[in-house]
Amino acid sequence: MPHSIFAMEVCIRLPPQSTLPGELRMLVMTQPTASTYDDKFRLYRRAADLVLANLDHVTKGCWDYFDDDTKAQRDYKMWVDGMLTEEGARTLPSRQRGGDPYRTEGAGYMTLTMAFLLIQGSPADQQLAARCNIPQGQLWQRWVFERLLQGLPLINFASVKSDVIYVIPGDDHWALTAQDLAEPKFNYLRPIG
Amino acid sequence: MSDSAQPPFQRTNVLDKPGIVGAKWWQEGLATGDPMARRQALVAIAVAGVLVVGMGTLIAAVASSDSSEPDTTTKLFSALDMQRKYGWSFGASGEPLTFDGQSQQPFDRSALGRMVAEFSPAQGRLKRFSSPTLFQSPSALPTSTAEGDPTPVTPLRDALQPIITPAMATAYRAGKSLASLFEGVRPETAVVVDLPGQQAIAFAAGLAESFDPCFTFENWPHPRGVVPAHLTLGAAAYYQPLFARTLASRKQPGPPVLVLDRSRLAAYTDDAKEFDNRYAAKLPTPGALKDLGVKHVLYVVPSASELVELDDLNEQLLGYLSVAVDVKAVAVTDFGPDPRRPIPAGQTADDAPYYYGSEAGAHQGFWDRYLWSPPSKVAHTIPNNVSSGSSFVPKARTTPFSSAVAPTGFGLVPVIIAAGTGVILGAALSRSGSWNRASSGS
Repeated sequence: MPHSIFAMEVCIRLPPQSTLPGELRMLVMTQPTASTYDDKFRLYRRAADLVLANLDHVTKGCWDYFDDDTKAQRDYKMWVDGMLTEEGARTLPSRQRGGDPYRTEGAGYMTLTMAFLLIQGSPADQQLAARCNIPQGQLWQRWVFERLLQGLPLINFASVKSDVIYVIPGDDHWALTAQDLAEPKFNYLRPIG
Repeated sequence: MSDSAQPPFQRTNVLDKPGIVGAKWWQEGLATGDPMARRQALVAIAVAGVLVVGMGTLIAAVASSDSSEPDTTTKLFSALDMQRKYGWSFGASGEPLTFDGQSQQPFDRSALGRMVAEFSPAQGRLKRFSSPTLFQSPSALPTSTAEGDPTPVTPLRDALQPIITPAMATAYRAGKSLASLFEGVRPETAVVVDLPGQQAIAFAAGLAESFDPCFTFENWPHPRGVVPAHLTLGAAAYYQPLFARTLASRKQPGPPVLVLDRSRLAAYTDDAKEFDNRYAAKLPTPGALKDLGVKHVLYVVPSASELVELDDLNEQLLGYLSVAVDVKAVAVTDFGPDPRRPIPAGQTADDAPYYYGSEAGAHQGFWDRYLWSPPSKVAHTIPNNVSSGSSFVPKARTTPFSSAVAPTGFGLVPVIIAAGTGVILGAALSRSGSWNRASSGS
């Protein structure tokens, strides 16, 4: 059974008092251990809606679609490992608790990562393949991320073998900073035009 | 859903730390029982039937790991096209439709053949906004037989049953109540009824003495349809005599009522078991609406908690605002019987009229909230037990139906094709298709 992969990561600059990280964390952590197709539909629809509502604040991102089985399986493992090894997460808080909630400084940055291992050739795969057929010179434009996010609710999860979703940070005081994002390990995130 | 009661996805990893939270799920059913592998191969072709930015037709061929030459392929086709060609029950012939609330009244089945004519607006200028699609289905017969699935198709007219449910009765009375408010009012308001199909029909029936109905149902029923269009059709069969009568008697020029099935965008999850008969609603363009003399649009929703337009209507309603057509909403639950009003002799509680605010003395208070007509001079109160629909304004938001990115894979069904000849064998969801038998021994 050959596979394909669709994955997306967005990096969002958080305005002061942003509730987005909390909403996304709550969304992920309240998902049932055993999930139905409908649970999946609702999870990714809500996640997409939340990011779309903050699309103007998405500063960097990355997305992949491959219909090569070997690459799909390898890359999916890579995205999963990104969660399991906590590769992108900070090891210490980036700010102290009890700071001034009205300071003009932003709340830092967050990332949302989603990856799907699909049955190659399934309708869901075809649909994503169609949606991901973007001219080379436009891959990292904002409208492309919007288009791909809008496609998430249309995924038929009957053809999804595995999915992973993770949010960095898990606590607002551990938000990523501009310095964090300048580290080489984040080089795969492209500036969004 | 999978065959078992167990949800298909099991969470295999979860992380909840200050630096990161996340989870991973695995669908075990796909790892152990791959239906496509058993079918030896799948070749997938996305049919670009809708606008996709920068896209043409995409073709990807996939052979299974245990076969060098695929013998069948799968393509996506328009669900409605397949039904028109191979029958309304394409891939599920012999499977029953379930009708809740079957009417016990005498039913003239031959009248179904007149549905297209009797579910049309009376005014010629409105006909282009009304779709005959759903009403064509009872009389339609297949024009071809799928090579791999020649199961005979029972005509839909023989399977259809008229229905009347309590929710339909409520919607009918609410529609009648709304119609009473527009008596003597200039015909400048178009009503957009967006209720579950059978209730939408009933609400429109309540309006039909004065409003000219334009039905927008762009699908056919199917035994495994995502959208229960057979219930909409069953409701239409029940109210058909009323629509036929009012078609002739309606005072003209009546304002339009655009009738939508709120189930048209229902969640679709399993293409192996469900038939995707969804569609996006089409309303008149802003210019066309202005040309009809419409100055106001009243959007009808089921309840006060559902005061937001469905995704496919967002841009269309915003377009109305852009040409100064006012858009407000009202909920079916804004109407109800007045419990303090005695029921006239010879009538039952089921016959009691509905009022805005569920109070006879507050009925005309509608016009104090919707300022499209001068408030009534008859003494009345202004109800507080109604939705905030009079303050409703559609707001711009991004949806899967935003104009630049119309969704793909919508209203399409997987169809099995003979790889060598290109002949359509049948619907992928069919249990009786010959390709299933051919692959069972592999």
